[in-house]
Amino acid sequence: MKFRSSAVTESCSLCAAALLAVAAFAVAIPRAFTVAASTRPRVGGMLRVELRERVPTLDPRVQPNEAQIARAQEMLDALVFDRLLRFDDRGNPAPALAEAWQPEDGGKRWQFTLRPGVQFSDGTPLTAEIAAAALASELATELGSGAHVTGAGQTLTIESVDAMPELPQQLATGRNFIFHVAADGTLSGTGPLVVDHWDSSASPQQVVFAANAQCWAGRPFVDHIAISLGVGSPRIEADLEFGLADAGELAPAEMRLAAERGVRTWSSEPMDLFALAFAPARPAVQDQRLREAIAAAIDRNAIANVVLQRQAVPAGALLPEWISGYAFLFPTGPPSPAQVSPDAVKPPAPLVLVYDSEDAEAHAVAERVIVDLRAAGIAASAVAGGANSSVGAPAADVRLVRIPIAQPDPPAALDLVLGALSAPAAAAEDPEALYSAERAALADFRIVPLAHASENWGLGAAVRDWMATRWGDLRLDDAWLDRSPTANSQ
Amino acid sequence: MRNHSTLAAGDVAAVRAALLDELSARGLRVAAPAAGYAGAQATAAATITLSENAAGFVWVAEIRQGDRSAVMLMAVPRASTPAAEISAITLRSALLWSGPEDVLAAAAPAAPDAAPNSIAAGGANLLLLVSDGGDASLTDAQHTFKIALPPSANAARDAQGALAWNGTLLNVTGNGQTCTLSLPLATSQPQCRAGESPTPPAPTDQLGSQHTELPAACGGASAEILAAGTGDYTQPDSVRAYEMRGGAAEPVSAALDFPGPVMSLQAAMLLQSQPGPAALAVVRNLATGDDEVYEISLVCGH
Repeated sequence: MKFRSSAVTESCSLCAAALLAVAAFAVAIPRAFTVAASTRPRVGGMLRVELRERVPTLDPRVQPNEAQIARAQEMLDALVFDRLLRFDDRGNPAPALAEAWQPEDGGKRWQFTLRPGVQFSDGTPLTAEIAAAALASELATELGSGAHVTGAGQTLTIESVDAMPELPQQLATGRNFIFHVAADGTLSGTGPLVVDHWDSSASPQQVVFAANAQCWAGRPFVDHIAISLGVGSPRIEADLEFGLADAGELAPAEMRLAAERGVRTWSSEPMDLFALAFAPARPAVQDQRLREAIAAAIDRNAIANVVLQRQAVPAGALLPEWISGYAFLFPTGPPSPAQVSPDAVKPPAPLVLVYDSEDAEAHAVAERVIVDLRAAGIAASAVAGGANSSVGAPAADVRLVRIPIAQPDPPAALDLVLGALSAPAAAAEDPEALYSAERAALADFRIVPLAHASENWGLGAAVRDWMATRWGDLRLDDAWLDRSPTANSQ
Repeated sequence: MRNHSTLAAGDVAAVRAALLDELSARGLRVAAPAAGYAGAQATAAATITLSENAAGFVWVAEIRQGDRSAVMLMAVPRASTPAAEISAITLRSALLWSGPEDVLAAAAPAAPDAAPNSIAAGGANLLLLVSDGGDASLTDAQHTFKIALPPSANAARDAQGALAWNGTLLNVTGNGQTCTLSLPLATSQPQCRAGESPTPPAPTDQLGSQHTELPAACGGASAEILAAGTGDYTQPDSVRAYEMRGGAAEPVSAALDFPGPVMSLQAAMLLQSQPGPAALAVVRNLATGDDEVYEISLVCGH
């Protein structure tokens, strides 16, 4: 492990390094746990799931602008399509369609060996040529036009003019799905399910997936997964309560209600970043003192604990603590009066804060921010706008962004966030470099983190092995149903 | 020193003691922040925070020296230790192996009369059938050899495996097939045929899917049944010894806790280190994500 310090004497640096290094080997780590137990899964049944978002398509080649919709679409696509790699429970890249991979030329070229014997659901064998064709567009978007992907036999090669140290992490997430396009344009995947029925115009939207018996990773336990999209959170809570749904996405406000009514609940780690992003070209927010005053005026604890109903934690950093391990180094409040005279930072006209009109939590957070700003003497108003990326919505001085960080790898997670905020990539790998990169990204207060919110689910009594990852990736293909009478009593 | 991690208070104290010893060995004196004169004269102030992220521990040193300050961070991998409980018939566990691989089955074929060196290079006495999510391979705990088992179209999502040793041949069941290997394993070519994944005993009201029978212990007349619980794979688990009395399974030991679900529980041959009935349990540690292989032994009395 490497230590760097330019601000303290060498002896002190060595001393601190020794402190940490000695302590690192000083203990073994016992763990406490409570007891329940394990039963093998049962096969069959239909898992009924309700989501709050609607999605425009199931085509993994189409990227919705809104982050929440993109997240929902990615979750559905992951049922049908696999990636080359996946994340294990620790967030390390693990084999999926690729069973081995290695960097060459300092990480400018990577070779992936595909798993043999895998077939798409239309019967087409997986080849490196098909995989390369599927990845080409997305990789060009992520890596730039200098990236080049080719396939021959079972070996897929990705090259770039720049080193790609985080390529395995990139390929384990996002829209890097592998698909086969038939002559008639139909898409097929290698995943655990196939699309059996899709009604995109219904309200709510309906999609039914059927088990792919030929899946290389084994058939899912349930026969079908029926997903309703665009269902309101109160309706989802009610459907869970009355047994009309097996799993459903809940808003923070519904979580406590669901628990009080006996519905099991599950939350991811805090992962959705709510942050203010100041428009780079708006004259009203060019004064860094104003941005700093705004950052200091916001009550993050109230946002996390009141607005988001304790389904969030205050954020002073871009990455939450569970990903970085150092978020506590970034203060989160309480709000303090502006360090400079209010007159000195007073904007020439009331600031316009734009939030995503489709996101109820974003609306509530934006309103709370306005309250805090007005309390600090800064005139501002919240205006409903479009997606995160639509900076140009009604004359936005600042926009409230919500970025799902469904990514446990710290370097890749930071790049994901910086990319969503149109900030330069960090190119950092070790904790110290990542910390420095976050410090630099936040130094001029053009980005102001507010809170990290969990993704929340309610679960029906019959659902077993709900093994979603800490970062909210669902594993519906691993879930199974216990419809026995005793299931309802558990 | 602050603890933002899952480290227990005792571990934090051990870390603190180790730090102070190291500083003292380097000729530095340490004063607490509230130590008045001594603290005021300190040449540098350091705040150590034991933090944690998804991959492991992150330890942070914030150092102030005059008007200068610096932050140093260090990633520290996790370790884990087994747990055990004591009861009238006592179940004891010993962690034999842990790692990120998915373990489908474990066996300890190195019985006292089985010449370990002839089974696996390096004298390994623990064989593992592991999966990378699709392919399966047989290896020993030290990874001195690895035999890949060809993929099969009969693979099951709830992958299970079995290792059966008859003294000269090893039958490996998993990935929808059964393969036979001969000694020495490291150079053996598997002879495979299609087959079903092994099916564990059906769960009952008291016993989970994972249970296995051991010879009578502690002077009893009936066999001991070791059984895991009846939760699902998202929950910690325990193993308990039972005896069949009047058609019902009655517990004869306290529960032995594990940090995740018991994925496999099989009677083991006698291990040299633990004479007496024993079983091998494969546990998926929910905190680390690793699979762990435990030897569970029955001990009479406390």
